[in-house]
Amino acid sequence: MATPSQSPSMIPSAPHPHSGKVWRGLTRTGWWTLPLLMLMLLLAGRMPELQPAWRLTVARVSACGDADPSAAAQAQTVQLPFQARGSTCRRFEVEVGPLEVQRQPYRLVIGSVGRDAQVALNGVQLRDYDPASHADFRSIPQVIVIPPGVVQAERNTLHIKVRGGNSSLERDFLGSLLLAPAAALDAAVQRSLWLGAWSAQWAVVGALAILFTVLPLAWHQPRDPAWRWLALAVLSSQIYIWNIGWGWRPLPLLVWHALAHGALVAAAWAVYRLAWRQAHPDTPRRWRGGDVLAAIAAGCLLLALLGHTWPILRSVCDASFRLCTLLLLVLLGWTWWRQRHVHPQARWQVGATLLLLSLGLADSLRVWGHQPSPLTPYLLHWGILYVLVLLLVERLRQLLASLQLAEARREDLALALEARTLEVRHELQLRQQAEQARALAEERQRIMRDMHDGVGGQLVALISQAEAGTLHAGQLEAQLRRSLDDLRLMIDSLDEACADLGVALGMLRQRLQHSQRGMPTTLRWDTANLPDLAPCSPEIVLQVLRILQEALTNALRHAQARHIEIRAQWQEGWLQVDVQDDGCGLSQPPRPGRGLPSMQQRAARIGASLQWLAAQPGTCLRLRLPVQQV
Amino acid sequence: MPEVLVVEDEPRTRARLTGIVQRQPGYRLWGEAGSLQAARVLLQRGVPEVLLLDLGLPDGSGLSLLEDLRGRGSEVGVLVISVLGDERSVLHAIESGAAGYLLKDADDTAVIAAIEQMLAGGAPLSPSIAVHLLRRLQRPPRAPAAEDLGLSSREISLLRLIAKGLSYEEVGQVLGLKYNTITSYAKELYRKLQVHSRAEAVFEARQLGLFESS
Repeated sequence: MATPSQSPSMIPSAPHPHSGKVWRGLTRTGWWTLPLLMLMLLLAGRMPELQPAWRLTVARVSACGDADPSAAAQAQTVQLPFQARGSTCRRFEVEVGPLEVQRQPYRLVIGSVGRDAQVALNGVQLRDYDPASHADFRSIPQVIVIPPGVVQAERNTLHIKVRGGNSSLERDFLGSLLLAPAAALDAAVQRSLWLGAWSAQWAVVGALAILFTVLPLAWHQPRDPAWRWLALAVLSSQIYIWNIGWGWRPLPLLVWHALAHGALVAAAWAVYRLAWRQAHPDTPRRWRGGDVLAAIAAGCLLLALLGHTWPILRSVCDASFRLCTLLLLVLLGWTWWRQRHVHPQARWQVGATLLLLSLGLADSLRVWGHQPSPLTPYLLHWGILYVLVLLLVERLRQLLASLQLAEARREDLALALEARTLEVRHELQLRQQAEQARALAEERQRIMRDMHDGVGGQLVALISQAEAGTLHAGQLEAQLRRSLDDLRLMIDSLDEACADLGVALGMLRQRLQHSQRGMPTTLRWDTANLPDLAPCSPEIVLQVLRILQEALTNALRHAQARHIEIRAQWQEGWLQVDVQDDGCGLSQPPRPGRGLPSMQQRAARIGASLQWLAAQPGTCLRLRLPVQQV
Repeated sequence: MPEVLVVEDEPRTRARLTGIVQRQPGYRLWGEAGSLQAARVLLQRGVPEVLLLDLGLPDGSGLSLLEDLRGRGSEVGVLVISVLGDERSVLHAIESGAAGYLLKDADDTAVIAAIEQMLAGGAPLSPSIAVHLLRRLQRPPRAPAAEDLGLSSREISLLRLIAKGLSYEEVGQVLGLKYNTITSYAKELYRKLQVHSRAEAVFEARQLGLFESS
């Protein structure tokens, strides 16, 4: 992060997809807040400036209290702007002249801080006491239209009677006076009113704050209601200020006061809550010191509002309003200070906040101590706004930083994912290769074993018989055909299409049709009702075919069957094949030596069951094997 | 009178087959050859009606002879002689234009029956071949330009029954068809498979860029 000593051009300019250069510059360093502070202080110090040409340069002010008839003796000449102090000062007399009478009509401008006033010129009353506009009169320069003929050429006497409470603040009267022709004055006064009015300053800076901080934050963090409250508060206070500054008043002044001051409290509280939540993200909600301060501030605001309703409370109200604003400042500074992860630039901002606090406090003390400063009458208001802006900008910066962090983490994760994917793919490839090699080896071994069991064994037996000379030609051909048949069974079992046992049975049938042609035995097949069966391994197919081939051979050769029926059916996960002949039948129990034990072994190897059932006449061999339907 | 050419390198088998042909009344042995070279020489002077062809010849595969004959546009009926009648070699031969296969150890009647069936316009369909035909022809043709080689519903049911191991007669009973109709169905299926395999070959060649786009 950038340190305060770095110039803007030295800000690291890492590319970031979510923020432009301007935003990055604004949010990464705190340098720009210092000129902003200076500008605000300057603006705050430039309160209504009156045109020098029309300023009353010399005036005689007679300050005399009602309770003190001899006050006329204390009459003194002062420079404007002037201040009259003390409880005895209730009436001011200002002598003005000479004036150019032909430049009628004239207007009188009174800029004052302090009390409600009654104004008369040359004995003609221009303004009476007005409790309702009390606050306005204190805050904003009043423009009073003087009827034609009232202003004299040589000498004019202006009488101002002041009415106020009992507090020291109420007893002060700070004022500046301007008496000038309307035509010459209007433009200048309007300009100075607008430029000088604190409301205008609030409006400009507040609008900036809304545009660049509150609204984006409320937009980016829709789930955090505190930001919405903050946005609402700033917005309503701005409406109030525009309303005062430009005189648009659809609602009674009291309501607007309530809105604006309430908004101030809401804003402060929202800022406090945000800061607190950030510092203690995992702690559940509790009643804390910041809330106490916020409650006190709210109470003070309530008192201030009451003071507007009942003049008797006015001094209390003014004092409490100032106290309330002070408390809010303290609250903001305190929550800022308590941030757990203090950003380096936050030190600058905290420093600026404390500076504002002390300046504002000093200003308030000065006012109370009858030492008005023309520079800082509204420093507290500015201070609050300034701190608000700082908080929001800081928050925005954190938001962007977290976005940046999230983006970086996303990229990291993507890289990690890619690496892991490659790794897993490689591993999978290795495993597949190993699996293939294993399956290949197993299949080779199986085929070797099957060759050994079948063709190989038969040929060896044939050779030994031939060597012993016990083999005649018919036997030789029969044995060789048996070997060839077995070889074809093996070939069929390796056929992909024969993985369906139904197809394998069909192949067996066709093979037998070739080899049984011309024999007297009739074979009847009943396999048409078989559904499509789930593929079986070549091992299972081969053993089933061998068992059936053996059974048929037995029926043909040994049982002298005339008619053989092969029935295959599938029911609830089991394939059942019956080979029924009408031959001489088996002895009970079946005699060994006819390949029956080897058939049993083959069946056991593939998880099938084999049963010999006595039929009338003949035998029925029943093979049952678990097979699923497709 | 069917004229038969026997191409077989193993002398005993060749003698057996030629013997069967010579003994059969109405058949004439057009010629016999023990190698590809000899067969080509014989075929230069004409074309027989029936060719019994062994695939594993000493100077090359019998399939290349099939390719030659097809290139000449001749209508010779070819039966491939196979030791094991295994699906791999048989199906390959059918795709190359063979009309069926003979087992090497087949007896006289089986050999003559196979020739008669072929001459009658039929083709042998084993259950295994039926399953492969179903799988290969039901798959949508990969070549976009190839004609539609899909199977009709009747052909599919025929193949399904054959795959269950039913004989042509039984299939005829189930489907209400005559024996001859079924054999010609089988022949038609063979033809489709040949066209299909050719279309696939063309498609593959195009994929590989063997043909220029001109």
